[in-house]
Amino acid sequence: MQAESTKDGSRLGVSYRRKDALDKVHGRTQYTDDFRVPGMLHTAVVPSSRAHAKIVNIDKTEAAGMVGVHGVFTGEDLPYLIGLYLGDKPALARDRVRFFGEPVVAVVAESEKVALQAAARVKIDYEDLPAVTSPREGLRKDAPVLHPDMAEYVHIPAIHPEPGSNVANRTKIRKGDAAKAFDEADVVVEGEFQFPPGDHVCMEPRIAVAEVKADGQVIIRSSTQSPYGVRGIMSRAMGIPPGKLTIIAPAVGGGFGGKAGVQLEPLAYLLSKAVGGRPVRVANSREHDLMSSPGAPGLQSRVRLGARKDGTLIAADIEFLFDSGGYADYAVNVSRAAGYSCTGPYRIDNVTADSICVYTNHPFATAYRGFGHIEMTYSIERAMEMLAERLGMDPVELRLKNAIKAGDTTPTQNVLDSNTGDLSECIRRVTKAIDWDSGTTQTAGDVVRAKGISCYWKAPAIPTFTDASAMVSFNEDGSVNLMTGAVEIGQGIFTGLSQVVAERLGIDPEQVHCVSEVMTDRAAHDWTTAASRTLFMVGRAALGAVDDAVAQIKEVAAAPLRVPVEDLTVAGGRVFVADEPDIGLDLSDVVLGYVYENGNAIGGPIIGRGRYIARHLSHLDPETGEGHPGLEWTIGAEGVEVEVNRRTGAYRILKSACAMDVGRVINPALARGQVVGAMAMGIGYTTREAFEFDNRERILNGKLRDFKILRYGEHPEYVVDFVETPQRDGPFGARGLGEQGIVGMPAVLSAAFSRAVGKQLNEMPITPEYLWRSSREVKGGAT
Amino acid sequence: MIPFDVVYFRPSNIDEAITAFKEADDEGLKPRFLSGGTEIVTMARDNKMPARAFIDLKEISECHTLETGSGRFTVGACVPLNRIVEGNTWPLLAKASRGVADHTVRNTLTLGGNAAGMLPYREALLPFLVGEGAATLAGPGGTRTVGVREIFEKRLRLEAGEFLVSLSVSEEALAMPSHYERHTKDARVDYPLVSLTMLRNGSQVRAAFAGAAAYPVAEDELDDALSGTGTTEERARKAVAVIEKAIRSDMRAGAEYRQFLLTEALAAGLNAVEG
Repeated sequence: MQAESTKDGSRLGVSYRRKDALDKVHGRTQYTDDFRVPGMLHTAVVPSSRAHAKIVNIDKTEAAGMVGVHGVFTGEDLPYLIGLYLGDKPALARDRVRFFGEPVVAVVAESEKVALQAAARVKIDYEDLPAVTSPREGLRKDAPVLHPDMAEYVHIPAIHPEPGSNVANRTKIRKGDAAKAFDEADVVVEGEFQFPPGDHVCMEPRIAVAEVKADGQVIIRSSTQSPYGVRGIMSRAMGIPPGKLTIIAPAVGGGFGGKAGVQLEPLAYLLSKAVGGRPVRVANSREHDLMSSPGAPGLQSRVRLGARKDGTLIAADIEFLFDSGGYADYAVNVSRAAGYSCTGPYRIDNVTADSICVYTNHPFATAYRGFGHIEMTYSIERAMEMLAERLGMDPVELRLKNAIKAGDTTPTQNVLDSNTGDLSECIRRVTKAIDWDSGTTQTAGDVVRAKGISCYWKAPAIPTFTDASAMVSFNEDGSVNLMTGAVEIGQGIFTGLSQVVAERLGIDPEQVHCVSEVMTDRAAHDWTTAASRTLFMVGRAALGAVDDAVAQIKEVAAAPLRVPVEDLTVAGGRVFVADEPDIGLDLSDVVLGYVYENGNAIGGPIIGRGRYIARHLSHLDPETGEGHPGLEWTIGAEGVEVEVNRRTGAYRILKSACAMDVGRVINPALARGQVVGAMAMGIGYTTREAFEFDNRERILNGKLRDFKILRYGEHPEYVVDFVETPQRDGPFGARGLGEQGIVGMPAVLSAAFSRAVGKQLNEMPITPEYLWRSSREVKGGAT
Repeated sequence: MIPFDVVYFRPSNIDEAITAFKEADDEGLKPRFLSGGTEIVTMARDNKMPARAFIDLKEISECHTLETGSGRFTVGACVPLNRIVEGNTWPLLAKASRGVADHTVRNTLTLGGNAAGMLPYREALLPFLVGEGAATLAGPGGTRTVGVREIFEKRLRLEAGEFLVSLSVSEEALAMPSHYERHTKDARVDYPLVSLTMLRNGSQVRAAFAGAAAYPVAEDELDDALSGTGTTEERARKAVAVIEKAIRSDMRAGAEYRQFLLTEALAAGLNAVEG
């Protein structure tokens, strides 16, 4: 069923069916691996069987001699260092391996079968090196330094690596006088929290197919959220002129940050170049996607909060240690994001924080839905629960008392403006949804039902110059084509964008056709489909393009209508005089040029151009963190009810509620889908989606039979509620909402489970065994 | 993908299967019998499958039996677990089968593959271990039917070149009081920390369970402890003491939690079958 527009005719706030729905449910959407290029060769990668080791020898003789093998390559053959922010990573390991599963050798062959057979015949000799097992271990003075050449790595100015150590980036926040405020505090609580690295587990594993044409043109088709990012990074690192490098991004089967940045593209390109330019396919198996490509960072953190007796927060001292794994990738910016948002959505005037990205011998980490804010929120909200317990104060009241609002300052000393969302209203709605006031625990024998609440905020962690572009053109019937650099990653972006465009033009969204495959040589530059910024920024660019086209339409129509341009308006597929609507033309008579009765023509095809660049963002001061990193803050609250059997540790999550201030809801069904999906992902993140390592830091659960994600039948009841305080610089007042639903989930589940067992649970994943053990500790080992 | 070539046989009767296996073995192809094949595929993908010849048993009619007759309930080795679940002739077997993998996989995964395959849990075998079941085996020396417990030592001990044709229990066993429960680390679709079946025949209680140790446990000494005197909790603890050393720790759970779950499950089982 197609939704209708609202009573006032608006296309906003209406659940139009997704433009990609029918093809997706019929299995007809074409993803990267559905394009098989003639002459394409296949790759098999040999992963490291060690977490940290020197590569002593690689014997590729037998593999290279096999029929159908075009080449067997090692890191020595592909001498480039690539990185998103910090150029620390070779396409294949050189000299040493830094994590279990790191690609060491690549075999290129006629078929995947031959490539895999040859890969099994490559012999690699390693000499084990002592492994860095956690970020805290990595900071020890005697820790092995994983990147001895860090001083020579190229990096962007916004991050601050510390050569000679394992610190890939450090973000410092110094606001007010925390030491003095702690002295004045009536109550101080401190806690340490931790969880291991995890993974996105996208339905579509990563893949890139690269080809070097005879004239030097490089074409890469890739499962990427960041076609322009890939172009920029590869052209800089490898000296390919950007105009000679085209990245094609078809529909992506889930990204969650894991396909932002640069992934398999450099390896595919280097291999293609090495075999004379033939198309080379590099495709992750599920296991390689879990272990060899980057996942979510782990964390060790420490939070100290100081408050007055009445619960007013006055001081915070915070340390976030991010487990970046063997390479920095996006993790250096993830740690930065946790730094600039470090207090959560609470007013705290005196703050010291160090957010550090540390190399370890774990799988390397990249962007993951929530991007630093999920780790930050988990830590801060755990400490808030400790504070409420210490004060004997209702956790909801404590949060309402400190809820951030317009006029307060962020950790980076920005004053929040009137666009700031209404956190108190979000808290009120969530507490109502889980019926907080009827009691937070309920016990029947061994079974306890308990509730929890958490607040969260998130601002996109983006370059100061983050941009977007859009172009509109028209068809014979007056319908619109929208071309942008936005990638469909499952979020339904083209449906939202078509509603924005349709609203501005006063037409049906069905009349807006979106170019759904991004090719970097066609659409103008767009930063990346990440950070929940696409509807906001590309929406703004699209509105600009519409306005530009409308001006052109009026200019063309003014002549045959013999009216001043400024008297014309465009709506409902027509251009007409605002106060005499009968004087007008159908858009179909104008958008490709107007033709007079005698055959004379004017105008020509209308092309609207729109662009956007982030406003007033600035770098953070390296010593104090002062600066403006956050374009818009999406603020919200989450609440859950869980049921725990304290005797066995078995649990159920009964209800999960989220209230979020999104500015303006463009498509309610899509918005709800994003938030429900994010909450579900957060349940998995909290309860099971974590890597386990043996005593040599090798991954034990690198397969989906062991690495569990949530299934149908394991979901709670979801309640989603939106508050609409307009973001006045967003399209029709909208702000980002794609990731935010996950941000409070580890915190809110930890709060509820802690309440159920009667003990603060400061580690994840939270499993029945952990609940059982904690319950026994509370009971003093009874039963 | 499976990156190697295999020889695939699909014999239409038991004799052809035995011959095919022997020939492939003589050629050094390390043959395996194949029923549903779900585990063979996953291990082959992972390069952990040495066999280069597979003898598919699915055309052999005896392997598809699913019937009650002559006083026995017989299930062929090639019957997919979902058929057992849906038929529900023996509720204990239906429940234990339903615990294995997920619905989609159980459409293919068979009793024989689960009971005599490569994974150590064998949850669909457990009811036959407690129900004094019999196994019909075919091999170079002919076809034989033996008590399941007689050939069970951590797994079914088949002779070289022999395969499982069917498992059966007496019709009386179908109505005996029984108990089943299953615990996982967290996700329901996962290998068990404890998957327990228990059945009472008069005064004799038998238990068989998977997940607690590295292999399914079914031992007379343990059954004697369960069938002896004392409260259910005391008997459960005594039974666990018999195999305490074998309880394992791994990435799914520690031995202490497994032991707790097992003890609780055995006590709950005793209450159920004696209640």
